[in-house]
Amino acid sequence: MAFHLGKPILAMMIMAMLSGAVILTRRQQRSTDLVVWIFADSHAKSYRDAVETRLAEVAGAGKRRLAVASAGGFRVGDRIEIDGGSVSEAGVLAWVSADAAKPWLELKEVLKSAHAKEAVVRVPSLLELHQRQTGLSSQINVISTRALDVRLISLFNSRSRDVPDLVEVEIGSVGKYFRPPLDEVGFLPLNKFVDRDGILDQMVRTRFAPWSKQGVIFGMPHDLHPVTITYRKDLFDEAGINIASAKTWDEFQDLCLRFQEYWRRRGGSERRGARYAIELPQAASDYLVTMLLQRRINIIDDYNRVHLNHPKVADTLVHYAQMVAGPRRIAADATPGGDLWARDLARGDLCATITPDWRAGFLYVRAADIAGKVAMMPLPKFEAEDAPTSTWGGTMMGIPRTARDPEASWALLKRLYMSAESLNARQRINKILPPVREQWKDPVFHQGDPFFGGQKVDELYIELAEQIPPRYVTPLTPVGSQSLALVLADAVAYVRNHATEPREKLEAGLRGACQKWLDREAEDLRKRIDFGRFE
Amino acid sequence: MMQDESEAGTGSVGPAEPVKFAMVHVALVAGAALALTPFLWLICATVKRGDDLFTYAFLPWGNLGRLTLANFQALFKQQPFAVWMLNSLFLAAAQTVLVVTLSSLGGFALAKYQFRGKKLVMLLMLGTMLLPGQVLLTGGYELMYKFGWINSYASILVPGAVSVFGMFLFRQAMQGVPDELLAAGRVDGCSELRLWWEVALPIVRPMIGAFTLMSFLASWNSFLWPQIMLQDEIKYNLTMGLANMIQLPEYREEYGVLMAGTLLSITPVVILFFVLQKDFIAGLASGAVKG
Amino acid sequence: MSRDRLWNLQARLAPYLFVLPFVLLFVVFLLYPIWRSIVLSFYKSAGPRKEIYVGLGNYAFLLKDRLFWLAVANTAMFTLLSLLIQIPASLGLALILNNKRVKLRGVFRFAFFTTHVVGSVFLAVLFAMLLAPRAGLVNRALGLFVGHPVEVNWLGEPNLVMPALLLASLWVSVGFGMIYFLAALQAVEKELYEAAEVDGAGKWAQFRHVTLPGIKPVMIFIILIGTIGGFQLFELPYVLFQGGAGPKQRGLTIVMYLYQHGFESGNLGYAAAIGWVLLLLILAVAIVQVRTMRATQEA
Repeated sequence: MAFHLGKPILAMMIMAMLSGAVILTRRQQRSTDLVVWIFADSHAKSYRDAVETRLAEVAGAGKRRLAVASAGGFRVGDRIEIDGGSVSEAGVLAWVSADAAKPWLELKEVLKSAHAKEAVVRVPSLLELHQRQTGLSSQINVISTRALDVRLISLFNSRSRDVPDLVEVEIGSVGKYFRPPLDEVGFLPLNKFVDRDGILDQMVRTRFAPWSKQGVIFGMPHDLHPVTITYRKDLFDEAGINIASAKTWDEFQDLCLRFQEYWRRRGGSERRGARYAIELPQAASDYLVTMLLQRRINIIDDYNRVHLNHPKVADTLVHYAQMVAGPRRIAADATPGGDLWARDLARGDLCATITPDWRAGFLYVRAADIAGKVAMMPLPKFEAEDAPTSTWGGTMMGIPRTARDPEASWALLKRLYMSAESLNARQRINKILPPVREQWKDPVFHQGDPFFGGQKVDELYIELAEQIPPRYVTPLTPVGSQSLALVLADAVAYVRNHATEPREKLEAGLRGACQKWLDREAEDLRKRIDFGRFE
Repeated sequence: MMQDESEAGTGSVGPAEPVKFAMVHVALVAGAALALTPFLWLICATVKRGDDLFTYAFLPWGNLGRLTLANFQALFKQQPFAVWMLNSLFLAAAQTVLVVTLSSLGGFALAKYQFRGKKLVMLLMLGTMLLPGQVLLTGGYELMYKFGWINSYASILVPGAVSVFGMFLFRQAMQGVPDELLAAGRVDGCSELRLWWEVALPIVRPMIGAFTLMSFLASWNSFLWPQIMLQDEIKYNLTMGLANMIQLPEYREEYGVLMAGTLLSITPVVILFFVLQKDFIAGLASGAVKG
Repeated sequence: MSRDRLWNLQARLAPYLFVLPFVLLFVVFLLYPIWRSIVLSFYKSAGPRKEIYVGLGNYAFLLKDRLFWLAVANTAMFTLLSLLIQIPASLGLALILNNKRVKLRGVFRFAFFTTHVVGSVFLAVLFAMLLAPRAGLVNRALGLFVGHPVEVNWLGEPNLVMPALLLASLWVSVGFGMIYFLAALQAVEKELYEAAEVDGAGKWAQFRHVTLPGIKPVMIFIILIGTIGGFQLFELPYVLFQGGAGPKQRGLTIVMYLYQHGFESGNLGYAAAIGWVLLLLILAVAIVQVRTMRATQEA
């Protein structure tokens, strides 16, 4: 009998049946004991990748030195394994050569037996270590932030038990998970684990703020992200300005104005014909938020109280707006797109920028040509009680409330975030400061950094890390940031329009105007908060 | 039967003089270039390596040896792209078969029978035709949750089997089936089902082709509903997979891999379109012109 | 004879059985969700398990919600501009291709229409690359045009968001409209043209009085489809801006706002309310359009 629905439909039926068969026989259950959802490939690599190479020559018993095919990825303190098939041995690395031509590794203790050439030298990954020691296998799924959020919200809302065992969440997205009342938040409160293992004293306490709601901790911090200013020391020195001596933003601004004046007379950069002292955007509010945090102001705190129209915000706006516009301007936007700000810094179009640790890391790659010419300083303050630093960005790891075995999840979390091996695993990928104080003792944080002219920048970050102000994230925090950006745009326009006025008059008028605008925005925010309130 | 050679009276912009003729063709070629260039660029982009994507607009003419399939290899290695493709294939094929069968059956009934409730059904259908799908999202999500179908393909295939538009198209087309044929069949003792299968379907074959393409396209390209329903990465279809990839920072630089994925995603439907285009245009014409 | 009775039975039941699957699915998966989403719109929720009755609260807030009205403005502007460009372009192309003297009509037709098969997500991924500041094809072409390299930041400049969206969207929709207009043009009876020519009407007059009225139903159809489609814009900006709404939220559309509230924040109730207001907006616009078209017909 002919198939009257047509050949295409016939073809599709066959395709559907064939592919359906494959899909049905696909393994439905998870293939590992634990599943971790990660949004950043770099994090996934640090948890999942092992480091491996082969011996380039025989390593004799009683010797410490291993000549290897490549020393890339190995770090001092790694516990390596040498596996020749029949004999395996382990040891801790005391030295890793940087010589690419003849790479070698040196162990802390001598080898007990000889190992043939081509034996494998490796550092197991964190996941592997965990499996060996607990018998539980784990897999990592990399999912982009937005997709991860949608899935997780859906899983949480339906109280599904199909949840992953651990999830990493970014600070920009975490607010929405705090929308339900405390006992309905999709993440498991970790207070009991934290207290039991005495974690609070091992980490900087204020770093739990973004991941908590009203004292209940829902996630473990991955990082601290203290903020400094990185600047072109060579250019500032040439202008005879010791910018690091600025203790307040006013002083900073004055010094920068002199800096710009010097270079204006000398002839500035090709890009704008003028060299600006620092990168600050005119239309985005991230940097402004960073400054507000210094002054210990969160747009919305974790009790959902709105501080957007606090007088200090208007005050900060008055300062900021004059830094990006008007006669006392010292800042400009970076070239849009990715990490092009690093090129701006390298060209000297912008001579300083605000750098949390993750941002500074881009310089090594993108601005290698200015190695040795930059230095770091803490943030200047507005008032004496401000913090000399702030925090920007962040990641947490949390356990879903309906996870199958929270204890097992917690054990894996500790391995990934706090174990001795976790530091080296991280450092292979980036130089972000871990939140665990014990790990700061590692010598890698106490070396002079040639990129920064020998300055011990990690020590600066560590010193500042202790003073990080608490940052709270709520469901409406992103909306609050947008509102702030709107007011910023108006403030900048005001400065432009009143540029010829004497400074006091300008500031008084601007302050009044900002306060009015902020009151209006705060009112809108409060209405939204009330509308979305669930308690 | 008369060959109408005159330009006037065909409702067209007709170039009579050679200059206009040339200009029209130039305009057409330019337009076609605009339409096709992105495809061309896409194909070129998939075979260029790394930085060449930025240096050469299309192909590195000087160094054709630099072309590479590495992007495709990376695509399959770094992402479960083959799995996504399989999923999309399954979902689109299964949904198309279901919806075409049901719509042709239903359209046949609406066109060729009188039965109680027919007016009501048609009224309801008309009422929901202009409804934007988004009003269904929230209620539908809740329903799927109640059925326990969240994260399963049932949530996509079962609701996807119903198409009001399809019913109308087939009703339209089925009206062209001569009643005499049906009556003759009945006299011969054919069951109604056989009448549908052997008499009606062959006559509306163009519409089947058209609607097949439409349904396959709709399912292959669908994003919003699957995005809300499917949780496991292994169940994603191509649209979700690519949308996920473009958000990962790694691919902001590695355009080539993204482009390889896009090319592979578009190719099956282009081929299907090529095969079914005559039917499609005929079906559209009959549907729209009368509608 | 029972065989006869069986045959009679199935002859009578056949139509019901044929429409039964459809009706069943229709009621369960279309009518019921519509009903539920109306009900949901009167609640605020954190997912399907936690709901609080708020009556008309969602709608009241929606009316004052600044972000919602931004989304409406963006969406309406997009739809309007899209139609304004698409209709003349599609019609023009169709008119040209309707002429038998044009060579390779089939090839051109295929070329213009193929773009239609590219789904919104793939379209967005493709155009994200085409609109890239440095290496994107669009900027390269512009650069050739003006003589020096341009680095227009299509996806970063708030004022360029709309042109970028329109560019991508029209690349697909012009071909689509062209096919419909082609079919419509070919359906206009030749005798009408001959009659008009006999009456002494020139090309332009023929166009106005024979062609346009002749293709009116299809024109209305295209405008309606275009309006509904335009108001439903979501995947294109969602993927282009990588899940966000673009600079200064210029890419925020109504459906995106719905999605953000319903599925990124979990407030299904508010999302449902947005969906219903969207429907009302589309209805309102559609009614105005159809009335206008009818009015011009009288004139």
